[in-house]
Amino acid sequence: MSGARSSSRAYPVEEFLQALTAQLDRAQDALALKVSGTERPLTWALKDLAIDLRVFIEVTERGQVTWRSAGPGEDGASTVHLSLTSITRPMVEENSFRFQDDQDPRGITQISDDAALDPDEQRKLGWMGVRTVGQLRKLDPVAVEAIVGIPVGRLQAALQAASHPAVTSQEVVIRGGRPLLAIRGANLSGHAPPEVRMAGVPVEVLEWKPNRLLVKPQPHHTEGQVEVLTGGRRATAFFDLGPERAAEVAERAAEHEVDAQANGAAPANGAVHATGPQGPAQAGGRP
Amino acid sequence: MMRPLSELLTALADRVASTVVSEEAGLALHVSQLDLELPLEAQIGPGGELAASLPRGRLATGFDPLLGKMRARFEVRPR
Repeated sequence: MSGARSSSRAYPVEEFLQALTAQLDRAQDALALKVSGTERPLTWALKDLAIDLRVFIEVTERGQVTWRSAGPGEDGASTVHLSLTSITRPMVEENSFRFQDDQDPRGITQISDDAALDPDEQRKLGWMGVRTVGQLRKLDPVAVEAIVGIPVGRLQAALQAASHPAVTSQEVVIRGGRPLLAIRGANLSGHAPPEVRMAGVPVEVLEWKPNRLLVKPQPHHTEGQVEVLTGGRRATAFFDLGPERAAEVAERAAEHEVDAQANGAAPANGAVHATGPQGPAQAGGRP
Repeated sequence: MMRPLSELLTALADRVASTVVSEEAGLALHVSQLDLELPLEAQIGPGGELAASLPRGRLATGFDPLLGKMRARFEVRPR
């Protein structure tokens, strides 16, 4: 610990390490660029790096560990030894949490206010490596209480609050030349496909997973409210396809309808089946 | 001069030729590995970015920050 003897600021260790790895990436990129940009046959690549830093290690009132560079004439600085080595992509993937596979990638800070975990509880879960609701859901609340002291009731209340469907984002994706709307969120489907309405009109759900839905907008859909109804609960958000996307949706839908009629099939907006990871199923709630 | 650590590393490696060719002798010498062990002035700055510099002189004064150390190993890779 040290007093405020230096004008240099203290920074959280996590922030420093993130910045350091980003700097090493930049160094590798710069060295690689010299090969492609200068026609050199060989280049240097950074393999290992060890740094001894003279710092004062401090702990804030919130329990955050920070490092502050030692200034001129300061006594008692610690020496931090950092050793870094380059690793391969498979090693990165093997040792990293795959957020894209998380069934509920919302941060634990996003749990609704009435059952929210306080900052101290969030920090304790962070120490355990738990940052998302999906990770929290996989834990045994009794074990968590025993290890970090968060009461079982608090965890159960937070999980209950986090079990409601929620829409976090949407994006237009092109599939088979046709614009579709991908809806991301949490708890968006259960065993059965959800019902999705855009601007109050049910739309076909092509694929459904708890964290992602793929729906087919109708030609008239440009912007409005999107509703997801599943398990007796409802999540809402607003969509805006933008003028170009909306025109593309309308044009493609019209082409699709003409093709379908030429082939003797039902018009697209009359289709009631949906296919997804669970196989063909009936989409409920159509008028 | 203090600069981002990434720039210092790039500058250090760039000053060593990975290949030396002698047309007279008809030989080329490839360096396979470069180990550097250097004293380092380092300062953690905004955003946790590490700024670093080699010591600015041989004589230490009371105004100099405490020196750390850096060991870097570079390998030569083909394009």
